[in-house]
Amino acid sequence: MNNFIRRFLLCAVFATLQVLLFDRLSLGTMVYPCPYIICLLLFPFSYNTVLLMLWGFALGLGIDLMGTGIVGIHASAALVLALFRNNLLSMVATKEEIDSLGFPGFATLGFSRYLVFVALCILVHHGTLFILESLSPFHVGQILLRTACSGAANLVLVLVISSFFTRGRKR
Amino acid sequence: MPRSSPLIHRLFVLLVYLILQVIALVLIINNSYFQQSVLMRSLRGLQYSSWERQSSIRNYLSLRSTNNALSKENVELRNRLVQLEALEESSLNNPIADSLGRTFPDFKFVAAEIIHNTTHRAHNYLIINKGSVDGLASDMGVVCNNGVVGIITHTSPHYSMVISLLNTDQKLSVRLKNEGSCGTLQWNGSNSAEAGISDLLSHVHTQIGDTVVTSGFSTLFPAGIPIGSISDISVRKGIYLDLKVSFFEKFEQLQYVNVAIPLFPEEIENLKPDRNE
Repeated sequence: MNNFIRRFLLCAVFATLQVLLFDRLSLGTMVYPCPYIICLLLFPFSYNTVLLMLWGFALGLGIDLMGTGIVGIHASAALVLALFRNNLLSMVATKEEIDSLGFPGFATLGFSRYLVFVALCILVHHGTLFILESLSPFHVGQILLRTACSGAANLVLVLVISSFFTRGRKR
Repeated sequence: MPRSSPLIHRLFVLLVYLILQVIALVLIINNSYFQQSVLMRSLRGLQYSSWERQSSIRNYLSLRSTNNALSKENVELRNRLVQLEALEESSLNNPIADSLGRTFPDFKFVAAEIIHNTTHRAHNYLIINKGSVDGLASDMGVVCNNGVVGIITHTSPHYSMVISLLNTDQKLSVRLKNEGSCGTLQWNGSNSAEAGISDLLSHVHTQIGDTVVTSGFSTLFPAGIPIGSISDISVRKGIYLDLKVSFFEKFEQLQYVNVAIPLFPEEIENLKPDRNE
């Protein structure tokens, strides 16, 4: 299957899931599940940052437009994640791995390095998201708490989902 | 992207990021009242602080003209204060109370300024700057803050002549305030600070320092206006008292007087039996 269509379908599926399922789960104000960021993580190691940002922006904007929240907030957060994703990746991966054709996952990075990578990405994304949501320096504690709680939940979620991908892709 | 130019590549990444981020932020601002108000508030805050700085600079630069305007206003206010003080001193036209707050229901007072005054003659007189236009007429009493000044003899439309109490022909009906006896006060023509009472009988108990006030028996003056205090007591021919009264008022220093205008003079005149005949 064409790479572009495959990626588009992946993003569309996760955007739809986000809007129809995860946005509607009421887990309190502290935990906000948003596993769609895995779409951006699964791009190849040396994927172009500009294209990645376009993908991230489109993905976030799609979720914003379909959902009921503030339009632009997911687009902005996903954009920031796409900007830093390759830099974060270079922190955990070697130069050979980055130059290879694969994509980040348990198979290529191993559990611990992939865990660190996902955690950093989630931190960037959630930080941006919650800061934009509250837009106030007086809610630092709340922003940090929400980032930590949601981040932990999403870390588990993303790791579980990516374990399927890695296994599926290997076969 | 060519690997050969990492700097340009980075700049390009940054540019794309900024464009997309601005789009996202514009969307956020346009679609959320909360985020909009927060951002607008901070922008307004910047604006306000810049306005404040501008205005403080402007205020500093205009200090000189502000000072000039203030000092000009100060002078104007001080002038007005002086005018008001003069007015207050002369505005004793109150029909209810005179300058000391005393009330004389049968009289109203008109304030006047002395424009001519003599004290060193045997027949002294004053000229005041109020006349018949102001309701003054002859045979009206003239008082001041600390006593009786005299009686009007002639009036022109804007001026009046007052026979001073310092006139050997002038007689004034007075009362000893504590004792209650009535006598006649007459100036002896020598000392502008003293007058004498000579028609009291010696059984009257009085002492030095007693206050002498107007009796109110004439229609010229209201009763109870203080004139002076007794400074010397002597007995003449065994039955008469000779009292010396030192005036409370210094006639040389008089500036403003009040003319006591009786409100119902005809009524009193008509009641006198000799008039009725």
